[in-house]
Amino acid sequence: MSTVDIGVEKVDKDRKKYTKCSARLDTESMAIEIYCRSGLIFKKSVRIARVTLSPIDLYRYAEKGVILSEGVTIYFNRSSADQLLSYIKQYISRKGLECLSRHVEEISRAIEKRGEITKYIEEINKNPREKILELAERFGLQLISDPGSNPLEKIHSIFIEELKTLTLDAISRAPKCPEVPQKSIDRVLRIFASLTDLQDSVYRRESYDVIMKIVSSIEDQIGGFIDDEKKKIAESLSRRDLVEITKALIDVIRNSINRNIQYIISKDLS
Amino acid sequence: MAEDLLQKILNIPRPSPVLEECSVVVVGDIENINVPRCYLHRIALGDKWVTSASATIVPNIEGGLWLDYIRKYGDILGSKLRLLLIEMSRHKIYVVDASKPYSPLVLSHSPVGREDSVVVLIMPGKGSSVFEKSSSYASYEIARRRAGGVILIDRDRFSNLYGFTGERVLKQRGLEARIVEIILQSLERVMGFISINRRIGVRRYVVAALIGASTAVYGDIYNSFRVLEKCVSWGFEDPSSIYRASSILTIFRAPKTLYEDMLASYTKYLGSFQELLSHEGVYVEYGSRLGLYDLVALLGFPEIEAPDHIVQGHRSLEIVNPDLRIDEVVS
Repeated sequence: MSTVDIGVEKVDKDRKKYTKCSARLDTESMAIEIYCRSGLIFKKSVRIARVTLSPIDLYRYAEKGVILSEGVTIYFNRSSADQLLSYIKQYISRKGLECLSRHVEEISRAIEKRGEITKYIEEINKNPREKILELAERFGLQLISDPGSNPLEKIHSIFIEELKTLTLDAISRAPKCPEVPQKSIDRVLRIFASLTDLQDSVYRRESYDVIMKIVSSIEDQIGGFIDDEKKKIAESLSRRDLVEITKALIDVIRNSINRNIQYIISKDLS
Repeated sequence: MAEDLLQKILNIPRPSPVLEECSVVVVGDIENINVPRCYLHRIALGDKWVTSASATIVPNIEGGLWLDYIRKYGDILGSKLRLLLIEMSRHKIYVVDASKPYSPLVLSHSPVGREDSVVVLIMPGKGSSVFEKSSSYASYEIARRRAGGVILIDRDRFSNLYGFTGERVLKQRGLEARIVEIILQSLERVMGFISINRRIGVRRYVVAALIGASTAVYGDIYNSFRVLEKCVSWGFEDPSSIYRASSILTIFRAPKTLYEDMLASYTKYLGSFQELLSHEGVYVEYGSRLGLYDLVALLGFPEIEAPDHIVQGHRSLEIVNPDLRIDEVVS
């Protein structure tokens, strides 16, 4: 456990006012204990309250310089509030990174699978019969070749079903992340949604400019790519291999989230 | 947002291959056919099932009759052929050696439609076994009931005919394959002709072909049209029966210099047909070193019976194997 003491201007509790107080912040759990000097002679420092709020609520209060929780009101001056805010930001970024990374890991699997499937569909378009026979080996002849239905439609629905199971599983396994603003989680999901646009655009053999517009929108959402990442994206795009492009983009997104987590979360907290 | 993402992930493109307009399925002992714009698939017999994009091997049934193949392999062959997307081709052509025990299996379990399929059925000669005759009879009956048109070729009739390409002499199977190639090269026109003929009740065809003719041999081009009656793929009891055809499509492959003569001779030749309801001529420019030309005519009839020797062969086998009834296979 690691704690820091932060100055407090005053505390109101049970209609009493305390002035000589400090807040002891547990940087691991974001719990705050309020200690105030009390007693006529010895003026011992005693704990008068313990505040456990969600980091996001705590952040919102700290921004205003006043924390309200279960009958306790804690007033901070601006500099103490900023000190507290900085610890909360660090905490949220640390926890957010862990949590968003797990989100990215889970959802990446579904997006990677989508890339593989889309690439396979590309191959079916080029060599339909070879690929259909290959799939019949994999899934079983009867499943693909159903009297009265088109094998291409069957394959499409098998792919969707496969992807649905994987994605629902990924979504259900992705952590809830109460420490992270919902906006940040949505932002990550939106980035992945843009990745599906990119996959579709590559599949449709759209122009480089169209594809780069989607890459730029991902870059904007994530807070910028560094040169190495841009190079990696350009290289993968030049090969036009959907699996490679997807993997490269996911890798870049993962790195960018690591690098820009503070930026992402601060943006979504404010 | 998670729901939106799920929808986006699941919205994958549909496979949309650009398929050939026509599929040609070659069954049995037939020489290589070159059909550049069509999907070509061969079906033959072997030790075990093998299916690739270009061929299907049906496992041999030791001592099996055609009905055994249908009973044992009908469903599986149907499933395998569905994977090859033959169904999606606008035109389906089956070039079938009718004598093989698995030919009725292919014809009964392939996507053969009345509107879009033609079967070129190659019947064995008189010297074939009762098993081959029974398979041929079954193939003939199934094709007759399922396909939009059946083009009949009797192997006996082609045994004394030759063709010439300018480089090589074509005999029997080589000649068969060449004729089929020429027909398939004008597929759109042939299918249109067969389709319109169905409206007038014409569904069976025989072929008359002169491959590698030359004015040096026949003199007047009209003479080569007259010679066609000797080069018919089917043994009618009365050879003049061909002039009772209800329809005729003639493909002329000739150098441009012969076009005018061809047309005039063709018009004159049509006068020999007394009961003609429809006719069509297709000119294909063809240049050869020796100035050769080909004439391939499809003669259409409402019905053409299977040859007696084929029917008798089948009946003799049916007596001891009463199961061999076509009606149980195709209604």
